[in-house]
Amino acid sequence: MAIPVVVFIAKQRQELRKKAAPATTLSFLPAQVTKNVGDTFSLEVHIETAGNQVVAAELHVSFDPTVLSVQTITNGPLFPNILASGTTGQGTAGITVGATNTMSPVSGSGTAAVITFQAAAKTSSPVLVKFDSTTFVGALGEGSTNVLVGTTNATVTIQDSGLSVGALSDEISPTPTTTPYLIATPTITPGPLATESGEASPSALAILSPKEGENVVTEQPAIYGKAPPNSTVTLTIYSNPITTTIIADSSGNWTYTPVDPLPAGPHDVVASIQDPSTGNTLTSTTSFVVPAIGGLGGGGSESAIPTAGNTYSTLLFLIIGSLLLVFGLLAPVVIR
Amino acid sequence: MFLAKRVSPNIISVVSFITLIIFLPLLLLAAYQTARILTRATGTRARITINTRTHLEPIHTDFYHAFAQGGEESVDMLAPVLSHVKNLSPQYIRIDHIYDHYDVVGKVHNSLMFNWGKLDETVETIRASGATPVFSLSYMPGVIAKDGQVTNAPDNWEDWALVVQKTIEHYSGKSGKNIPGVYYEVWNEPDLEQFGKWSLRGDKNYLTLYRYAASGANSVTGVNRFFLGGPATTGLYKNWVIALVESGERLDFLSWHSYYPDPTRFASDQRNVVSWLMPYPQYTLIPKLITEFGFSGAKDTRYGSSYAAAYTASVVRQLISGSPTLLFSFQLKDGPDQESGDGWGIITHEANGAQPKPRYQVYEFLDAMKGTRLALTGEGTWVTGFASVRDNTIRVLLVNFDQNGNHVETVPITFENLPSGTYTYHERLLLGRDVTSQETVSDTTLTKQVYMPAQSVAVLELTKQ
Repeated sequence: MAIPVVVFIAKQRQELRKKAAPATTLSFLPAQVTKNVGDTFSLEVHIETAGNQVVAAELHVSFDPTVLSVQTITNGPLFPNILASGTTGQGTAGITVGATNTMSPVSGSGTAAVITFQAAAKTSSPVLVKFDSTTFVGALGEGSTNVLVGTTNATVTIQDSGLSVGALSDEISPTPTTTPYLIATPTITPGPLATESGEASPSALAILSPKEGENVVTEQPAIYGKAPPNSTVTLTIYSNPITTTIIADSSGNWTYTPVDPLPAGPHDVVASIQDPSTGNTLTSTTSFVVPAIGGLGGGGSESAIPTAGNTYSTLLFLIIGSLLLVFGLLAPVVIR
Repeated sequence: MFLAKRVSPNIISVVSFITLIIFLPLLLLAAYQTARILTRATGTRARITINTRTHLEPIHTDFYHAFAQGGEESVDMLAPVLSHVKNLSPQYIRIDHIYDHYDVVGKVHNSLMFNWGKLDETVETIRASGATPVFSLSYMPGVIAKDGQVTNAPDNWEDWALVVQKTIEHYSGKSGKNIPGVYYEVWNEPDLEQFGKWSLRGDKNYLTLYRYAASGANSVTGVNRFFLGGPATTGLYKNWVIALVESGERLDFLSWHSYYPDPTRFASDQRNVVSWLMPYPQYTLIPKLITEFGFSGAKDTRYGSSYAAAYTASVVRQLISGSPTLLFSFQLKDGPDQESGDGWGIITHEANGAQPKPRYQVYEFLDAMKGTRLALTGEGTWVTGFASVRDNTIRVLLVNFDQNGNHVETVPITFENLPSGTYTYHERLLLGRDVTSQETVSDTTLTKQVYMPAQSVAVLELTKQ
C-alpha cells in the first residue's frame, strides 16, 4: 500500500519540478564560421527544449552591421508555423515561430530558424552573432515564464577574398545541416561574376544625360549616351511610353531629342541594346523631371521623386502666413 | 502711430481677429502641404534581386480569400451578385447584424422564439458561393435588449447566452445546418459609439457580454467543431486582447479590424499580437482573424479604383509570411445609393450594374504566387514584392502602391543563380500590359527593367525552356 503511494507522490513531485523548470537553450550551428568577403552563408538557430513543451519562440538576433548583412530569416523544420514574419535590419534579425498547435508542442532538439548572411567586410578578430535579451520561448505548463535559460553565440571571421572559397570552406565546422525549407545557397565567387552582369557596364551602354533626378530646362530634353559603336539602341521614355531606336555612331555616341514636348512631371528612360555575344538585353536607365510650364528654366531643386501637393500654392500660403505672423507681432508695437 | 491716431484700438483688435480667423486656415493648409511635400519627397526606389536558389517557406494563398459583408441592407445582399462572388473563390464570408436585420428572435409569453428563415437565406447564398459563414454575433435582439436598443446590454444576461447557444446549435448542430468550422465572433466593433461603446468595465462591459456568449457556447450539444472568439474591435488593442485572454473564458480565436492607409502596419500588428501572447502559451497559437480591413473606414471613391487593388496586394505582400489565419476584405458589395462610386464594395450594387471594381481582379492575380517563397531583397518605399517558385516557374509579384500620390517607377529586377539556358519571360500587369519574350542566360543572372505605373500590380514569370 505504501509503495504505490510513495511512487505516486514521487511522480507528482517530478511533474511539478518539470513544470517549474525552464530549461530550454538556443545556439547557432555552426558555432564558428570563417568566410570570405562577399560570401553568403547560413546559420541555423538550434533549440534544445530539455523537456519543456515549447509552443512558440520569439527570436531576436544581433550582429555587427559593418561586417555582416542579413539576407533572409525563416523557420526551421521543428517549427512549421511562422507566427510573425521575419524582419531584417541593420545589425538585427528576428522572427517568431510556432508549433503546429498546442496539442503538438515542440519537444527535443532541432532547427528553429535559419538565417542567411552575407559577409560584407573583413574582420580583424571574430565577431559575434548573438541572441538578444528580448528573445522569448513560451512553453505549456510554465505560465508566463520565459523558459529560455541559456544561449550560445556564434563567432564569424571574415577574410579577404584572396583565398579560394574551397580552401576556406574546409574550416567551417560543423557543416550546416540542410533542411527541407532551405536549399543551401551556393557561395558566390567574388569578382566579375558576382556583379550584376545582366546589366550593362558604363562602357557598354550608358545614358549620360539627363542625369538621374535632373530637372531639365526644356520640354524636349536631349537624351544622349554611349553604346558599342554602330549598335542599335532602343530608347523608351515613360510614362506615356515613347519608344524609338537610334544607331550609335562609330565612336559609340548616340542622342535623341523628343519630337513632341514631354508633359510636366517625372519621366523614366530605359535604353537597351542586345549583346551580340550573349544575346542578353543590356539596359541603362535614368529619370528626370520636366517642371511645369512656369517652372521651366528656373533650375528648380525638385528631385525625380514625385511629390504630392502643389509647391507654388504652398509657398504662397507660407509667405502669406509669414506676413500675417509678422503683422501680428509688429502691429501692437506700431499701434502703441 | 499712424493707425493709432485714426482708428480706435478696439477696431484694430476686431480687424486683427477677423484677419486671423480668415488666414489661419490658410496657414494651417500651408503647414499641411509642407509636411506632405517633405514626407513625400523622401523614399527609396526599389532595386529587386531574387536569389533563385534560396528557398524559404511555403506560400499560402487561402488566407486572403475571406470577405466581409456589412449590413447596409437587411436582405440577402449577396444573392444578386452570387456569380461574381463565386468567382472570388471565397473560403469564408462574414456577416454582421444577424440579430437586428433578420428578425431571428421573438418573444411569446416571456419565452424566446427563434425564426431562422430570413437569416438562412443569406447563409444559403454564402454556402452556394463555396464559402463557410462567419457570424458576427450582433447586435442585441431588440426583444431582450434594454430599452429595445440593439446596441445595449440585455435585460437578462441569460437570454443573451440562450440566443448564442441557439445560434450555434442551428448552424453548427448536426441536426441543424450541420456546417463544420464556423467562426462565431462576439459582437462587431464593440468599442465604437455606433455599436454601443462597450468597454472593459462598467455597465456595458464587453467581458460580461463575452462571458455570457461563452456560457451559451459551452451549453451546446450535438455540434460540429466551431470557434468562438472576439473582441472584433476597430483596431488591434492590447488591453482588449489581454483582458479577453486573462478572462479565462473559452477563446478559440482573436479578431480585430484594421483600417490603415499604411500596409506595413499589418505586419507590425502581427508581430505585436504574437509578442503580447508569448507569456500566454495556451493562446499563442490560436487563430487570428482580421475580420475587416481597408485603407479607410470611411467611404471613398478610391475603393472603386486601382488604388484599392494595389493597396490589397500591398497588404498581402506584408502578410505573405506570418499571415493571420484569415484576412477579410471589407466588403463584397456596395450598399444602395452608391452611384457616386465611393462604396466599400468590391462589386457595385445591382442598382448600379452589379459590376466588379478593379479590386475584384486582384485576388486571383495573387493566387499565381502560390509555391515556395524565394529570397527577394531590395524593396523600396513604394514598390514592394515577393517571389516564389512552383512547377519550374519563378514568379515575382511587384506592387507599386503610393498611399498619398501617384508615384511611378522603373524597377530593375535581377534574377540571380539561374542555370544557363533559354527562358520564357512573361510580364503581366493587373488590368494592364501583357508581354512575353525569350531570354538567354549564360552567366547566371538576368536583369529586366519593369515599368510600374502608379498604383499597379505585376506578376513576372520566368520559365526555363
